[in-house]
Amino acid sequence: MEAASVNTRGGDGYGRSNLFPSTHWSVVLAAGRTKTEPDIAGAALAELCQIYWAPLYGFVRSRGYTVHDAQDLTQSFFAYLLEHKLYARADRQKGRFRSFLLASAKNFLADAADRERTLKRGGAQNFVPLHEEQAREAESLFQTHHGTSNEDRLFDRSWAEALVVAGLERLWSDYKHQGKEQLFNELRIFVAGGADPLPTYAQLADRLEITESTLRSHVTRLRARYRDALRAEVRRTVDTDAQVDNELRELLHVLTQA
Amino acid sequence: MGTPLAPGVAVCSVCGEPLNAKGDCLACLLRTGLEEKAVESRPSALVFGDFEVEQHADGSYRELGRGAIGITYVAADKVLRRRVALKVINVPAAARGSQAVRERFLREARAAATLRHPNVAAVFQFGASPDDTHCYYAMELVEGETLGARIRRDGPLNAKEALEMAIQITRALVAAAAHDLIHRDLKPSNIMITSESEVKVIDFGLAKAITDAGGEMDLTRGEFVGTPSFASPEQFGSGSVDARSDIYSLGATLWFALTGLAPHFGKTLEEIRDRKTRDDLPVAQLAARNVPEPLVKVLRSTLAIDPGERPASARELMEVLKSCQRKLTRHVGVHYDKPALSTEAFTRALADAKACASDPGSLQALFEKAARKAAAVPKKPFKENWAYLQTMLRLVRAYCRGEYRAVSHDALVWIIAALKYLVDPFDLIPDKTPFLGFIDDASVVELVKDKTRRTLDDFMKWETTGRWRIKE
Repeated sequence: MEAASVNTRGGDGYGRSNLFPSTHWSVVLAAGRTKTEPDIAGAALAELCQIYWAPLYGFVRSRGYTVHDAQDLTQSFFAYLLEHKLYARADRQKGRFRSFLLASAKNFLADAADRERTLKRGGAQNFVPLHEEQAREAESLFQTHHGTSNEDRLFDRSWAEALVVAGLERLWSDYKHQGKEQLFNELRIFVAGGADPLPTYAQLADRLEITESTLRSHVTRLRARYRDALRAEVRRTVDTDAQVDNELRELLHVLTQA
Repeated sequence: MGTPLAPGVAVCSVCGEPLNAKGDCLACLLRTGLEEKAVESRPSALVFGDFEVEQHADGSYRELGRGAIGITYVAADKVLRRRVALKVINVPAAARGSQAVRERFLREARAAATLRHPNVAAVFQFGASPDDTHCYYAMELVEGETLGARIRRDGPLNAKEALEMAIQITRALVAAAAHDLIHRDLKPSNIMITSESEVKVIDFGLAKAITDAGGEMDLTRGEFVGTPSFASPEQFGSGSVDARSDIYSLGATLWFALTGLAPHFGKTLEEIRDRKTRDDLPVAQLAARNVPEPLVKVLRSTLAIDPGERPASARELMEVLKSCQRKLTRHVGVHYDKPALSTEAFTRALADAKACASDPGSLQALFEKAARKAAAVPKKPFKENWAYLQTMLRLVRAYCRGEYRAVSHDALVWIIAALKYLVDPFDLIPDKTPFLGFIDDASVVELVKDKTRRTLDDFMKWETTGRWRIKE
């Protein structure tokens, strides 16, 4: 697998802005259908699976598996996905990586033979590397939401979280490369909200020792860049540009409706 | 909001939705993705009294420079239809609304505006914004560059040029004395040099006004007014200062013009103050630059710790400088050429650099070491130096990636030599002159900001065109 050929998150390390990842679900779909570039499709899918590991794990946990079993099953599911090139059979018309992943995971868990085989041999396939911290965060996310949501909603909520985290990280990395980490941290609240009330422009401009107009300009720019980063992240998981708005609306609906 | 909240779950102050474990609001974060594509509106016109700040094509304001408490813009005088340099000082919240602060600023600015001299950038108008958030004054727009920028670009001046510059500044001091004005913050960045080598002193008589309005200046504490490296020893005390303080600052500026360094460097106000009052002048720096003895004497006299040992007035200083000029003219063999940078260590660095340039493995090792060091280089007070290092790293990385193959071998050697220097900034090369120059130079900061848009060739043109010479 040519993992190195996949552009990872966080810019190119040379100061150039890299808000727009090159790995797309549409690339996986296209490559899978033509079967001409299986390595590229596999590597791209592995990267996407890495980013969206937590939602899948939460979904498996919500089915009543223990932490250890859920980790094994999640890993095994991704390995199964990659090994059997399930993506080549994905329905392009439906388009979304999220739907594909959830439906495939449901089938995988429903197949008692696969599931038992996985648990007996202890999982251990590491097509998608699992990091301790990632597993810990996924479990924490599950613990936060599992009492208030059904398994599909829990999956979608975790998915939304993974999306915005990826978008924010990409943006943070971009600001960092420009030596503007501090500015990002100060203005983050204007994008991410929070428990504290937003500071007034006058207060913040005073504290940062810049004019209000400069501050407004920074905030506008940050929001615009975050918007682009998030949409780019969503675009990775859907097949066409037109699906980005729908995907965002649907996730927002899940988050804000009973 | 539909989902019942678990006890203790915090909610967003903006939309009321629950926050995630990191305290972020997922709903806000998703909504932002659905916003209409934000077309960054052109910043609104920035107007202070009769003056409107000029804007670039992208709407950003046209800045000439910025300091800790103020920004200098190019602005249009809407009444007299001329371009001016507009200094806008941000009044700290604590001082806003204070009639005393406002009055003090206006009084100082009014006094400064009475001074008209060919070697002083004239102050045309001044005022405070109606909401007391800003004070401003409009000055003659001088087409040229600061002495600091000139030194960083071309290296130190020769004795003749430096002396001529000092004489022109002294003319400004003589004129100011007639108005009982002292500058209080004479330094390389307050000396403008036009393309005809005419010197214009900026901010004359305004240092205190700026301090009064802004509460503090670069590296200032308490009652201190000025810039520590160029300030007189008495400016660090609580007593009054007079014209001899400006004479000291002129001496420090002249020293900088000849060596590229201030006579007493330090990281803190206290360190600089202690060095000024305790250490002897580092005259070895002058010897290294072949500064003629008559000029060394001028420097010793103007930089005396005791104001009583300095020329008593600008007029007296003028006589001293003129006398020095006559001696230099008669002096046979005075080196008017720019001194070349030549130290053993730099030669060693160059040799190492050449080895690196021809060996990709060494280059990679150097790069890796530099990358590790870069992370450890304190951003302050060497933040510009740090930014410069980042630029260097990017260039070498780009080279390693196979870009810029057209760059000459010599240019690459130069970059690596500079990089090696910056990897070990204070040991490898004792003579730090050219590199220290990167600190607090607005033009360099701008260049570094612009770095990602520049090609290596552009950079090298800037870097090598007459900045300083390396003797191999």
